[in-house]
Amino acid sequence: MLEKRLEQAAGCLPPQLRTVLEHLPAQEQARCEELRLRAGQLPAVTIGGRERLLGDRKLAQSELEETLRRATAYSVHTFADSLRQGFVTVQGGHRIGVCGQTAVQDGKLLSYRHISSLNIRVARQIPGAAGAALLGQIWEGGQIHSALFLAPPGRGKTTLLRDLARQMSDSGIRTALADERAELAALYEGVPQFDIGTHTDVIDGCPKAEAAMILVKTMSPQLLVLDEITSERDVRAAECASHCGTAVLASAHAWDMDDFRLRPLYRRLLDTQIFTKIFCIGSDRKIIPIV
Amino acid sequence: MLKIMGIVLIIGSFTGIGISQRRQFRSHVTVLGDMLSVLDTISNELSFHLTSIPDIVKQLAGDSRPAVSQIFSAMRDSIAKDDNLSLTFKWMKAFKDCGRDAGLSEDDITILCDLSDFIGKYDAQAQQKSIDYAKVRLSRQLEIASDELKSKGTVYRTCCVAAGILLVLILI
Repeated sequence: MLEKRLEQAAGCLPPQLRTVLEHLPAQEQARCEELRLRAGQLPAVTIGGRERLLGDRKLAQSELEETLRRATAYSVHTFADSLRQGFVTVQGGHRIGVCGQTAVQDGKLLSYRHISSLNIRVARQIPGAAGAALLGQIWEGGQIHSALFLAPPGRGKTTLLRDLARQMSDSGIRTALADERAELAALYEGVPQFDIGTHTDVIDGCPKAEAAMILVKTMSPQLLVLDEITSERDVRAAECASHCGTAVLASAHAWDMDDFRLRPLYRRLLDTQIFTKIFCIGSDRKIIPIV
Repeated sequence: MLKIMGIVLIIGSFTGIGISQRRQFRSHVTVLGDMLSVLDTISNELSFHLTSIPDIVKQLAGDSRPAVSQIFSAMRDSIAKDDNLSLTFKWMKAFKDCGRDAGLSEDDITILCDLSDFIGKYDAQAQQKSIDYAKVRLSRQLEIASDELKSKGTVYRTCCVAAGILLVLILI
C-alpha cells in the first residue's frame, strides 16, 4: 500500500517497479520528494534532499521507455510540446523530467531517441505554506501588491504560489492561473487536482504569455499567477497584465537578488518595476523579503 | 395442403439462406464504412485536440454503432488493466479478437492492426499520415466489398431462390 500522492506519482511505473516503493516505511513515503530512475542503476528516492537507493535490481533502459510511455498514456502527440522542453506532467501535477539521447532539428530538440533517466517529482499541496505574515505583506490595506519569489529549483516556489492563490481566492479575490506546466492546479478532465480556491480560473498547458493575455482579456482577474518567468514573452505578459490593473504573483529561478540582477532577462523585469515586493526563499524554506 | 406447406417452407428457407448471404455482404460494407468514419474521428481528435489515445478509445467505446462499440469497448477494458502489455498489443488484440464478429474480413483486420505501429508513438502529423494510408487501403476494401454486394449478393439470393424452386420441382 502506497501513500496517496506517491501512489499517484508512481502510477506511471510498471507494476514490478512500484512494488519496490512499497517496502518504504509509511513515514518515508509521505516525505518522498522524488523518484529517480536511471538506466542500468538501482531506482532511488529523494527524501529530505538526499537520494536513497532502493531494492537490488538495476533498471533496464526498456523499463524507463515503458514508464514514459505510460506517463504519456501511450500518446506522444499529447505531450509533444512539453517533451520538447524536457518534461511531462502527469495526473495530479507530478512532473517527470526526462534525459537521454535527443534528436535535434534546426537547433531545437525534436524528440528523445533513447531515454536514459527520469525524475518523477512528487507534487504535494501544503496548506498554510504561505503564512499570515506573508499574506499581509502582499495584501495590504485592501491593495494587492505584485510580488515575485526568487529561489533555485526544489525550494517550493510552486507550492507557495499555489497556497497564496488559494488563500486569496478563498478571500474573494478573482484569481487566474496561467498554469503552463499543469503544476499549480493540475487540471484533470477540467477539474483541479489541488485546492486552488473558490474564485480561481485556470488555463492549463498553454504558454504562459498567451494564457495570461487570454485570462486578462476574458476573465478580468484581480490577481494573475505565473509560475516561473523564463522568457521575454513571460516578462511582457506580466507587464501587460500589470498595466491592465491586475496584480501579478510570479516566481523566477535565482539564488538571491544579486544572482537575479545578473540575468539579462530579469533586468528588464526590474526596470519595469511591476513587482513592488520581491521575496527570496531560503534553504530552510524561510521567506525573506528583499524589496 | 401438406404439399403446399412443404413447398412454401422449402422455398422460404432457401430464400432465407440467400438473403442472409446478401446481408453478410451488406454488413461488411457497413462495417467498413464505420471503420473509415472511426479513422476520421481519430484523425480529427489528433489534429484539433491532441486527445490521448485512451481518451479517443473511451469515446469510441461509447459509439452507438455496434461494431465500433464492440471493438473499442474491448480495447478500452484492456487499456484500463494495469499490466505490462503495450498499447500496440492491446490495439491489435482488440481487432483480432472482435474484428471477425464485428463483420470485418482478415484483410481489413490486418490493415487496422498495421496502424498499431504508429498510433500514439509519433507526433500528430506522422500519425495522421499513417491513418490516411490506412484510409486509402480500407477505401479499396470498401470498393471491393461494394462490388461483391452488387454482383455476388444478388447472385446468392437469386441462386438460393432458384435452388429452392428446383428442389420443390424434384420432390414433386
